[in-house]
Amino acid sequence: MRALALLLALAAAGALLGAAQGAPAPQRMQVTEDEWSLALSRQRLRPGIALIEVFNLGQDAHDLVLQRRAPGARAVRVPRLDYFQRRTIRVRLAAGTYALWCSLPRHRERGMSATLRVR
Amino acid sequence: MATPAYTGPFGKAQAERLLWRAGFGPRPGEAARLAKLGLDEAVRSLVRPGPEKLVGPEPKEDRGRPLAPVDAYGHDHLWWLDRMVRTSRPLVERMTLVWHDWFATSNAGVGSQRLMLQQNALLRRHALGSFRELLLALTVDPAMLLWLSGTENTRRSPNENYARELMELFTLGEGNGYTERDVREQARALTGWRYTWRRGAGAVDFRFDRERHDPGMKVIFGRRGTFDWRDACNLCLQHPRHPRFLVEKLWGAFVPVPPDEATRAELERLYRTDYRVRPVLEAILRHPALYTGPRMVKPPAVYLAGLLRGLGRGVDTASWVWLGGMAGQRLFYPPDVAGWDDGRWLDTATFRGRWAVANYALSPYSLSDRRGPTVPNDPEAIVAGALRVVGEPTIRPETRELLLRFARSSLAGARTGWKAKAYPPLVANAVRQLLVTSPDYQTC
Amino acid sequence: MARCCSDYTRSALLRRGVAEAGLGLPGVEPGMPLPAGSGLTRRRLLARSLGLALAVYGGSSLRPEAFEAGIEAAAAAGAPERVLVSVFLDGGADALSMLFPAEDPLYRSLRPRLALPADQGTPFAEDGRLRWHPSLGALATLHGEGKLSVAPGMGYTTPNQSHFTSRHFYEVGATSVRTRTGWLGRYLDRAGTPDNPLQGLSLDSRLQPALATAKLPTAAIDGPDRYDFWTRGVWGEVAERMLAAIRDLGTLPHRGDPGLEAAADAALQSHRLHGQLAPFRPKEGSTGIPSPVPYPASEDAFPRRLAGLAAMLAAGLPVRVVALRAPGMYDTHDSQPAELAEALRLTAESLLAFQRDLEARGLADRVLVHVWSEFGRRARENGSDGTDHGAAGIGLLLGSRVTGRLIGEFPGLQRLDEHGNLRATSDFRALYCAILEQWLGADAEAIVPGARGFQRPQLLRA
Repeated sequence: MRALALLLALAAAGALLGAAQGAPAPQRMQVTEDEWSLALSRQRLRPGIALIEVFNLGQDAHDLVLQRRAPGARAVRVPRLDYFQRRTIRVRLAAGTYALWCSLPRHRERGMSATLRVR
Repeated sequence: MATPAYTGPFGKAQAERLLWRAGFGPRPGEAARLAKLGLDEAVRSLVRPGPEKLVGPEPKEDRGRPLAPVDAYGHDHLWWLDRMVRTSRPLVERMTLVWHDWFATSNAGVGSQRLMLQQNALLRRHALGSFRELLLALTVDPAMLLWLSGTENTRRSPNENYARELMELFTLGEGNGYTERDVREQARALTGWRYTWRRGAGAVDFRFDRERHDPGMKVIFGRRGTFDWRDACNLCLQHPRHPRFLVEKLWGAFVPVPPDEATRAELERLYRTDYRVRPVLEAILRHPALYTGPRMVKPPAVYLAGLLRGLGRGVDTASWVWLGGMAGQRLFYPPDVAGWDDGRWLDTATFRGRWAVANYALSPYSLSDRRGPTVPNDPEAIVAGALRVVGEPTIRPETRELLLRFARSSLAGARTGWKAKAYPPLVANAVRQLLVTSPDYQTC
Repeated sequence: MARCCSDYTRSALLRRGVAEAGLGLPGVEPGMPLPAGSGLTRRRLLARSLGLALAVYGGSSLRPEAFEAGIEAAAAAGAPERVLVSVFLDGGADALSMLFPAEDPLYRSLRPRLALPADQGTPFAEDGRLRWHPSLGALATLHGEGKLSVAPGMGYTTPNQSHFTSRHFYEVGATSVRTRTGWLGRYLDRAGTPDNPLQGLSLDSRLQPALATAKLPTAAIDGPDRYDFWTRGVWGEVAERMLAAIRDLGTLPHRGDPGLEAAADAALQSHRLHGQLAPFRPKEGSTGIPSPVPYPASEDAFPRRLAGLAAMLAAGLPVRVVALRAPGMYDTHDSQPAELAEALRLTAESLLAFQRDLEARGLADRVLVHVWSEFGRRARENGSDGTDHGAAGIGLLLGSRVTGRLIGEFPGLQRLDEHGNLRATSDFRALYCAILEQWLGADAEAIVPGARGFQRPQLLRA
């Protein structure tokens, strides 16, 4: 456990170093879609810019909506993707909890939703 | 008795072949340095490398951002390609590729770059170690469990997918010493693995669940027992036909003609005691057949990684992902569980793919009369320059002559006028392209 | 129950082994089949003598040279008298939009948002209730010329609404999940030769499952016009010389070394292929394959592939059966009006251009085109400007020799099945039997399971 903590500390130092040299690389996440699920390559991101790649691995078309759970929060939409299509969006994330879902009729109810924590 | 060792001259050409077969080709000057060590030390440096150092520019995608192997499509491929290019332990990386081909798992069926990369780390960890440990770990590796239906194999509903490939592809060979009944019984022994589906994360927490395991009596290879997944693996390893299967398949990854009887028997003996791969590899890499036998076509990933090593170029574009597919080897996506067809890397489609790979690799070094150094209107100098830019590979005199002839005839009508200035760089670019797509450079 | 919990990608389904130990196929979509042909070995190689970059499937005991000789021999013996082209509308095309019952009040009530205006499209001459979709003018033209037969209720009993399963049934020519060979593959296994992969041609980068054979080879080719050796910083005369030098690389001595030989062969074959594909390559300043008639301009490969096919047939290549996918996704769960109109227009106009091309080349009597989809769509629209998976769909037969008559009648909206889907008025297996017997001169009973029980439609004019 201690070794892990040390590694994490080193990684953080590396990140700071990277930041000192130039703009830090944006964090990234992949969302894979299928009938009827969303799978996020990470469950948690930091506030700030993120590149999110949406990849439809299902057999039907899907879209994706990303919205922070807060009054008046704006929804980000990735338009419909046919199977095996993918698209990357660049978003600015605020701290909080985000809901992700496919907004095609009944897809969300069938299981195509997920939660992302940003802190 | 030991296997024979190569006793001929061990110069730059032999060291080059060793580095291509057991790794990803030399960096500039590396072959000559290795040759100085002599055969024994050269092989030892590959099979007993020091801790890994990654040498060369950090990988990045086209916009200069770092790779995100878990989080972006294709970055898995780029991440591993970079490892091949920068590693100081080429045999470890090459064996990781050999195992990837051997236990061919495709993300087309797994659907998770994270799980594929975890499997990749597992293959690397056991790259030169014990095949027994590798097989046991891989049998319950999450990507493999998904790929060959291991988590669908339950006492109520047995699934033979992994059981069959365990014997047919991984340890014994098709129809070699097992029956359909053995397949069914092995499937029962392998039951019990499952995962939890977590919303938003997918399959997590892969584990053995006693409730799903069939604890009953099984008969496998004529032996009776209440076997489980470990026994399933061990029974295959203890099968009298397994050592021969393993050493022949492993040999085939490095030498294109089968070993002679005595060599094979000795390799089996080296392997059989404790399933260690390192001594077998050491014997293969020292064997005369590797140095005196025919050449092998470089696998596409090896070809590209070696070209980048020779050029001194790092991984700096995501184009390698689709180009890898075009050349016939998209890492993490072997065509099926039998892996790539290593006897058939080159056809008209993949030749064109390699042409495109070479073109992309050489692009940043492309010469023009409007920028960069002036190219002399001199065929000899142009061919020498082409060899220099890719790290001085050894080529046959007739191939060198072909390149010279091409340069001479292309420059013949360009002694005066605008062509005198414009043509030399065009010819130089073409010579480089022809050099790295020549049979000499496509093989090792 | 969510499919995600037992298998979670399309490919996982496709790759599921035949391993289930006697308990039937598991999973959430019962009866999910293996795709036909998934167990075949695949070999890429070049048919040197004819200059086609081929991926060859099956026939694994032959060396490449044998195929080349076989293709050459088959071509020399004369091109096949009759060619069948199978065109797949992927996703389940909405038959009720392709030919719509314009005046039927039920149509308006089932499709309040999607119903097409009653005055649009061309009336369908054989059934006064129906009109062609406004984007299908090209099919209306062909129908008017008697070159198109329509099956407005193509399907089978106990329809399956999974894309994979229903498509699999159509591909294997049986409502069986266990069958591994395609219906055209089984035809080839009987009528083909062991050394001519072009006899079954997938115009795609991969094998089309209907062509999956048990033993004889078939080929996949993505299109003959995309084969170049572009190199940065090399142009003009030097580029020409460089191409010639690829041949020289291929003739370097290999002295029996198999590695060098393979690499030299690949260079030589690639050079030859590049030369032989020259007629198919767009000339500078033009696009597309040289054709006697214009094809629709599109990013999609479909018109280009059809143009290439016509050129290949004109060149006398020994092609018997061809399979390819139509452009567009027909799985219109939403945004149906715009997407369907675009897909239908490009498909129909490309097919018309192909027919005109064949006519101009004097080949039209030799080619029959069969257009199919895995199912039609639900009669009632869903809530998102789309339609969900249905049962009976549409089938088309196109060519100079067809009767131009209905195959089965329009099923109508009065008697939908218990899921609210159109009922089948003709069976795809009956159509297959008729194609095999009347067009390909084959014994349908040896190819289509239960062939004896199907009433064959008359396909060709006397």
